[in-house]
Amino acid sequence: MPDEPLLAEAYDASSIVVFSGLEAVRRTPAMYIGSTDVDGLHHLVFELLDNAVDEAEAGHCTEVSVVLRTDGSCLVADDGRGIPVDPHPETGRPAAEVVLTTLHAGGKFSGDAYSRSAGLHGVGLSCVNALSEWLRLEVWRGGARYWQEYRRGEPDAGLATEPVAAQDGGRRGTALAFRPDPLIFGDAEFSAPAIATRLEEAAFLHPGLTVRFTDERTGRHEEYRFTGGVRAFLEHLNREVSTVHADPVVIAADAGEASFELAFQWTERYTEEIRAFVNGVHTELGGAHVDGLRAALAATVNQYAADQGMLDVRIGEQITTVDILEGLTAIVSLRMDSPRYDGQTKKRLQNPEVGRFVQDVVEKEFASLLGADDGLARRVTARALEATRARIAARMAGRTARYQRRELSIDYTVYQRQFGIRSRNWHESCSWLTDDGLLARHAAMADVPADARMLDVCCGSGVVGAAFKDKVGESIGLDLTPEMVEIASTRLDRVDQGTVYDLPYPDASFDLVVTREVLHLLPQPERPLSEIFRVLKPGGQFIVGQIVPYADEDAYWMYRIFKKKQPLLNHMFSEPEFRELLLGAGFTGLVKEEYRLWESIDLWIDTHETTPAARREIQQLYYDAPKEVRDVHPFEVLADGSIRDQWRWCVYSLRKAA
Amino acid sequence: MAQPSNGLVGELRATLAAEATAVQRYTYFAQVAEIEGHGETARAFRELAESVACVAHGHLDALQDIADPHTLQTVGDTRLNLAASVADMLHEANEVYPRLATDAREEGRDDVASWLTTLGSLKRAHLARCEQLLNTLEAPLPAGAATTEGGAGA
Repeated sequence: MPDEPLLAEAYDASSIVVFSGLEAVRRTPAMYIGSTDVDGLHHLVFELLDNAVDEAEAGHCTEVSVVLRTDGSCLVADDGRGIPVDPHPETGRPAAEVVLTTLHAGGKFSGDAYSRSAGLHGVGLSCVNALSEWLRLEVWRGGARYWQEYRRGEPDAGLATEPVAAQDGGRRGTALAFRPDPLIFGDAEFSAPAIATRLEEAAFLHPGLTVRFTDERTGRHEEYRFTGGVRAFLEHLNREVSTVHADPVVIAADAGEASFELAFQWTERYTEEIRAFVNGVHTELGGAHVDGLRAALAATVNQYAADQGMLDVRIGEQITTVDILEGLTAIVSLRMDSPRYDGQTKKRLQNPEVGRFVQDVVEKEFASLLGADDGLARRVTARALEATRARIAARMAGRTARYQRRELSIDYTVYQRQFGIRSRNWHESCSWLTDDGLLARHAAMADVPADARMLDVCCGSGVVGAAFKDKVGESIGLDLTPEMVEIASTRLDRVDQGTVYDLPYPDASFDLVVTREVLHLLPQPERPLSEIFRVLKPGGQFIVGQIVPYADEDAYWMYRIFKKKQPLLNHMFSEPEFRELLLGAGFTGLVKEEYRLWESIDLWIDTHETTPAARREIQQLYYDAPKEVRDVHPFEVLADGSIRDQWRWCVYSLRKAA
Repeated sequence: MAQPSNGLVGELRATLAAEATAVQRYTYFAQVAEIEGHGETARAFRELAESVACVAHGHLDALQDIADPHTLQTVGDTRLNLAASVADMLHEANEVYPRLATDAREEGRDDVASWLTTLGSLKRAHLARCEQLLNTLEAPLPAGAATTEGGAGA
């Protein structure tokens, strides 16, 4: 029938079917991409990435690049064969347009659609198109360039084409640029770390494939290409951290039905990084293969430590499978027949027999390696013992600050140790410490004479006091640890060593006292507060910042998180409690300001004071946060498991009556 | 069928409490096993917790018809359940947690006292939520609602 192509051009029944398909995607996007938060956003990128990687798998593509643009759009380009553009036999439309406008059938509602694993067909380009405010397709194929633009899934015009300039004659490939529709995704933004992680893995799993990543929002540019298997990938992951031993340990074994290649190395970091794969699919939650590795490492290192008499037998010291994680970077790539997983999403491998296989091989190989290389053995064992002893110290820290009745006795050495060690990477230990906006909030509240004497109590590195330097005549700091006194001396006029329970200053010495996020760590906080009150001149000002819960519904949950992070935590003040505490010390004229600050939890818990077990428990508290908590407390968990929490900072100004 | 004796009912209640506790302990143990890298044991604990949760509900099945309504601890219709929950929360929010927080402070454990204080607050929030639901459930139909509806249709 000669009329058919014309009919297809017109707004007839067949085009209604096409568009209603995409309408369904727009109506219930979560059914297709899991969610409409930042994870959903990433799903769009990974969909395009998987298509490019499929081209690489088939041997037609050697380069993939992903660019995040400042306008919130994303470009994914490859040098594959290019999406076909010849007319589709049924509709007469270019095949590329059919792919971009037709929901493909089969598989898309199964669990696999959400597995985000390379090589599995995902939700299709048409979903990305439907959920994009605009999308630009460019194809180089057969000596020509083709392009077409779409708005919310509908083509602006037909597919345009032109011959490729002579110098570009051999060019081929596909480039898709799209801006996720703000009507669907709100103000969610791409997370560079989450995307980079995924790109790294794609490059690792496809040796020889070059993956480029550019984030134009920050100027970050990375290129990933690994031909050296697990070792090369591990060296890449550890490229910026100092390691405990120079060479990673690489172990491989093949038992027919299962084979693996793995590499591991300890670093001076606190957190662990384990990337585990089964048949080229990332098992985010690990499982038997990872458990086997950990059990083997703990057993081997423990055996060595025991043989060498390095364990303190009086206290039953023992390196656990949790201690062994501290600072560990590991890649495990397992190939096996018929793997079984917990749940639908291939995140955790079951198969205990494979765990035992990995454990047996690693124990044997690693033990003989430690036997042959005493330097390696000593360094690795010392690193693990450091974690063991930190775990024991953390448990003790929670028990030191007690008092009987009104008699307070604090073991200051515990505080000195906890914060002294932390001085090593104080400013990198979390975002809030150096957040200019938060510091400015504190400083903006100051209203004192230009020649005022200021005291920064528990000054740490002195950044809080330094924020007030323009407003006062003299800045003095006080801290418990010699390490911090030294650091703060570079920022403040003078820094004294001493305790806030017994300030080494006469009454009425200062016009201004400042501090931040300290009182929750102190037993009987009313005592330091009365000391602060005492050293203030009449009419003097006290400025104090504190993280507080959003509501009664999240306070207990925050308590659990903060206590696991820092065993010295003594209080999780609600806002009214904190206010009452301040007023109870005799201050008046309370003014409060609030400031919301996003904090990377992964960074925040990367510290010696948080044990590896507590670190995982904290992550779990976020992953499993009760609905009542989620309703009042904003935080984000990304697909790679990383966490951002928005903290509620309250900054108070108070006066000692004149 | 004869009513079970008070003694048996009492024992059943105690068992319910023990099984409900076991659900929470096994769930917690599963997490510990997970963190320690004992995946198989973790899975076993999670599966045990599932079974025991079903057992605990079974105890509630057995108790729901015979428990004494005057204790406000029975399982009845939703209105009664809300009322029973409110009674529990009142007790926890106003008596149990404040008293324990004071004790902890007396013993020099500010951290434990703070933990218990956050729980008193949580229970007050839960109390407010359940009381509101109870009020909605108990609210009689607005006077003349039926006639108004009829009137609108006329």
